[in-house]
Amino acid sequence: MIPTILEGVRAFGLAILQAVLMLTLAPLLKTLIKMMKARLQNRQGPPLLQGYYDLAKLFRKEAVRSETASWVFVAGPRVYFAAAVSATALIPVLISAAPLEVAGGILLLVGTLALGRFALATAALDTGSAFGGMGSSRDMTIAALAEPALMLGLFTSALAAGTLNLGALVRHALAQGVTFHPSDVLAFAGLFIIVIAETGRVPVDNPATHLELTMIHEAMLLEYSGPDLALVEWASAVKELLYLTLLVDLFMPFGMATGTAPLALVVSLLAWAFKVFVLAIAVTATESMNAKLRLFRVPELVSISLGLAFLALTIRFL
Amino acid sequence: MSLFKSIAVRVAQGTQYIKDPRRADPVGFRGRLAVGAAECSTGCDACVAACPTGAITLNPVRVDLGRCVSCGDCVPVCPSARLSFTNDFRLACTDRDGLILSAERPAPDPVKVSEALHRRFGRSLKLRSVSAGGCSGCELEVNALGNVNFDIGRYGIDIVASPRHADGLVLTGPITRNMAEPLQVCWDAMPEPKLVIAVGACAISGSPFEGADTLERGFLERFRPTLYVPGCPPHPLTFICGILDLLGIPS
Amino acid sequence: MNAFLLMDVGVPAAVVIRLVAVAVTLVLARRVTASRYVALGGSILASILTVAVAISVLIGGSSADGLLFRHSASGIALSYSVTPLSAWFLMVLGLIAIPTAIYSMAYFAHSVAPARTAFVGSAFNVMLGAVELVFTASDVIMFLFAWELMTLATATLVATEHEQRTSRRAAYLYLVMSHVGTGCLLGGFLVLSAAAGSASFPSMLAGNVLHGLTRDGVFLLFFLGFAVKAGIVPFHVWLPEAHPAAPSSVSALMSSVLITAGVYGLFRVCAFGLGVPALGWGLTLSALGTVSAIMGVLYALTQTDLKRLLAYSTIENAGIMALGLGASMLAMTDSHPALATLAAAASLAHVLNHAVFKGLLFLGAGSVVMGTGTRQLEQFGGLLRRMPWTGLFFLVGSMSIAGLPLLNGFISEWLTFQALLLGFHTTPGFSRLNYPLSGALLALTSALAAACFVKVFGISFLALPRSPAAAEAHESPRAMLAPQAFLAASCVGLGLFPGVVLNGLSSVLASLPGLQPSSLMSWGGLEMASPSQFDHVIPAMFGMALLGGLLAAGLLSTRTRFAIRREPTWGCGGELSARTEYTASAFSKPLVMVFQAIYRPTRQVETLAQVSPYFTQEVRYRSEMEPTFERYVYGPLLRAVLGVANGMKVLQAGSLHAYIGYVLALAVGLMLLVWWRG
Repeated sequence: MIPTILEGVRAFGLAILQAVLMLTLAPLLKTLIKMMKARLQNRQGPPLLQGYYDLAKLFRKEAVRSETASWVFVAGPRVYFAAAVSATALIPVLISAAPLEVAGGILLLVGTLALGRFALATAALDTGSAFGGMGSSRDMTIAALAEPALMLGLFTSALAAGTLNLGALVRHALAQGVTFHPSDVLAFAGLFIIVIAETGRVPVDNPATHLELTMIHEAMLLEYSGPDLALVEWASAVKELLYLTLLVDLFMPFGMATGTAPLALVVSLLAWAFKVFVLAIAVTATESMNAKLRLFRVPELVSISLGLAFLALTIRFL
Repeated sequence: MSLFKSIAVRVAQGTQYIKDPRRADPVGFRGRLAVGAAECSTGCDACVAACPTGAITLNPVRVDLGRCVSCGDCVPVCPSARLSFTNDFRLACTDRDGLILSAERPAPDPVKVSEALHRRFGRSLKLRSVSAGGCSGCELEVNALGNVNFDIGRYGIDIVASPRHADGLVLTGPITRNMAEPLQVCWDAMPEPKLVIAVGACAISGSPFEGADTLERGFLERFRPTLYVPGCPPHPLTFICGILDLLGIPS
Repeated sequence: MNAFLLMDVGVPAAVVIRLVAVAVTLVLARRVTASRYVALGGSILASILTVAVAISVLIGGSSADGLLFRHSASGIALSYSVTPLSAWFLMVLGLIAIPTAIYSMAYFAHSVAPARTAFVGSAFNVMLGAVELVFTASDVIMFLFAWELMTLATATLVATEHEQRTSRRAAYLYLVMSHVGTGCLLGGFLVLSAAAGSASFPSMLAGNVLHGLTRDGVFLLFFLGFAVKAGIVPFHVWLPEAHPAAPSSVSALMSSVLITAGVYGLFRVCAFGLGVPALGWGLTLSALGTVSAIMGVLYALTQTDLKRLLAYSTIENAGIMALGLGASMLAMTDSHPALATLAAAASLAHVLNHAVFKGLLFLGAGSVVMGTGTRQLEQFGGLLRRMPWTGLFFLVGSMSIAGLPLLNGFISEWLTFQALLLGFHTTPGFSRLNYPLSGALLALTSALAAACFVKVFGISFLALPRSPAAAEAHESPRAMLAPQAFLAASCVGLGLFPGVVLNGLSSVLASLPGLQPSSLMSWGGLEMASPSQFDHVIPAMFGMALLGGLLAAGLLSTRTRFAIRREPTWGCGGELSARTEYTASAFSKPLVMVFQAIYRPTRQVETLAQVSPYFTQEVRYRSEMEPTFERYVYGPLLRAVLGVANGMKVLQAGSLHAYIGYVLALAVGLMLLVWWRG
């Protein structure tokens, strides 16, 4: 079942197009959430294109690197970026197939994101500062706790559709039409909590904090500058868009194009943008209405998510 | 649901950010010290004696905004009533000498757009705030830059958590001996291109601690500030308008 | 060499070579270098032969049987049989033994006292020879003889540095627990051979010999015996003591290979030798496997001794192998041969993958310990600058054990997930929820393992050295680096070409009763796909995508016109030194706090001040994890045993008359028994 050369080239071409799409729209999503949060706080917030301005400026700045750091420090952002970008090829975005769906499904997706995290966490230890060690330690802890809940939530949809392959999962859902199962609400809630945890948003982590003691993800980035920082920030934004797209794929894939007809693609693009926008509002609301949890309360939150996913599984299959 | 309640509260409060900082009206702000055109009485140096930081010099009467702490002691002692405070907050300047006001030059020269800085940081400027031994008054005003009223984030300007992420160093405080080395380390940690913004009378001239042997201000001789924001403490609007003018950002 | 000739004489030739090597080594004991080379060279030669035999059996699919020894006068014959299952384990053994022997050639020179080199070299050969005989034994006597020899040889190697109390205690604990296990095996074999009427494996393990409660009892005996060797919780307490005490190359072999002797036994006897497994068997194995996996990695997270950490990680992986086997047994109970095949394949693949990356990690640990002179993680730091190659290979091993894609750990983890999730569909009712839950727990284990190895690699190799020992560490000689390079390349190769592993497994699975390899799944060299389109993975293709991503990152980041400037790490303007770096204990502290209920840490903080309590001079901190199993399982057990023993002291009155009286009573009793039965 290895694809032929022609099929392979086509798959990679689609993967590149999809990666470019996700890379292009990711900073917009990040700034959109910032702007909506600001509006809720009575401020104006940054202009929508601020994410692009920041990245453009960072890419043209000098890279200052620590004297104690080795090649691992340089490799960290690049592997993190590569993992986020290549993970976008494993999920369906506009068409009901992922470009590289023959290469892997849910397990490979989760594994790739773990690879990116491993690289970033290891590189953070390379600086020899307490900030890097702390960020690395906390991030790996939260990730370890969130992983079973993430898997269980993904398994619920996967087992219902009878496949771990995301493209096939979406096709199965589309073929069934607009159906709704009560377990979907629970599974969605559980996975939403995990998405908040994995993308480092309030109530798990505050992306805008300056207090190192309250940082989880940011603490790993304190030592990066210039292009290194730009790569990490961009990759984080892509990861966020990826997780929201994953939620769209699993729970509301309607409107996705089933072929490559131009009109269907435009409709699919608009539908996808709208759904991601709605989810972004949900993220903004969660961030604005909750305070950041103490670090040792986060396991309780994650176990709520685990319980929700387990309940969803039970309700669906028993 | 509390989300709806928050939205209702938000709608009721209306917008609170100042729409155009350049045209704001800070009521009750003790801003620029204006030097009137009246003649001084011969041999009178009442204002010089009254000024605690030596900001006023005579012949002709000159006020150094970089030393002035806006205490207001000089206003009532002048027999000719030459000195008065205005509401003007556009006080930032790119040149140290430009802060010296007199009857001929009543206001600092307007900050001109720096083309190079506009290209580099016109849409995104990240600042690192270093408090070099001050009283925290200026730090509070710098913190206020991000609040609901001033919202400097809407211009793409933010305070960041690490000098590695920063483009500009916001210096407050007179640079004491103990902070001289950490300040230098912070500057070295920032990636090029970078700039220094001196905020407050302490940073610009060291006053009211000028001349004390606990200060070590060599940093400012090695790295000349790109923007001076005078005041004790300066109004956030001074800072904002100064930065916006320097980077050529329309408000 | 002709393949048939190889299969005929390979195994006996290997045994002979090892015997000769041992003899010559002991003869040359005074000449340290020569004895070292003879011992290890002989081991390499023997391993090459066994690997060749194993590979030909795997390719051919039929067993290689033969005679090892025959005494014509008494008719005693020791025969061997290389079944495909044995061949798989032999291949894994050889794959690790050969690099380890090459590594040991340089390692023993530096880390083993010259006077002991000959002995260690001989014990090395005896141990490997014994394991080979365990895998190829086809009757009870041979098996038990080899099993016991393996235990004894390992114990002597564990006690290499016997002047240290910890080594002696570790060897003693290992011997006691192994012998309890061997006792259970002996009991099981006795019952089985009595029921089968023969002591040879083909007739004993045909599956139809025992029934009902006897069968369950025998299963329990065998399970206890093999679980001790495999390191399944709660029989694992010897492992964290014994593995670190041995020289590092021997630890590599112990963790990769001796564990698998237990797994081999579980496969050969418990799963496929006693007939269709009962429900309780599979449940026991999967439950204990899951518990081992989680407890293993949780304890590994808190260790600050590098080799002890790796030993606990071995317990975790042994748990994963047991989980796969347990799932297979559950599937066989429910008559789902396809699923059983998949789960067994996952377990066997993990045997291979674990051996490769754990061997690599232990060899790397040996290099580090040799270079710095200490095993404590808190003393390391910045080793990547002093030992760049060791660091690189250790990184590959760490990423493999974390289950990251493109490396071999991901492959066996993927297979295990497939087995667990497909089990969901085939099981009706409430118990089907076990499967996704086990999957979630497996995900937890692998994420915790990733956290553990970020800690190990990051604290040891990155940032600043935390002690003078680390600051002056030296890189290992090339003889020690080459085997690590080979194993690291194998990790990558097995990760990119998973089909190779599955091809090798097809003949193994065909030879096991009750499995259906043809319906397993499809695979090519580069890909794996599970039945009914459940999932499909091509690591190499994804690797190309990842490379593309790296290329994009590289292109994007080269457009700055500034050169790279090196500055001290930002520490808020203060001075950074090795003291302000994160420590290994600090790294795992959040997880310790989250899992407090399992660890039950106790903490003691003492502050000392001379002048006034406000001016502290010294702070003493002591933290201890509760040794749960030692305190709550083995403590009471030992006390009970000692209590009974004390009670029986009465019999040993010391009086000769009493002892003669006992003998007389026993003789009279036996005669009465014979008269009554007859």
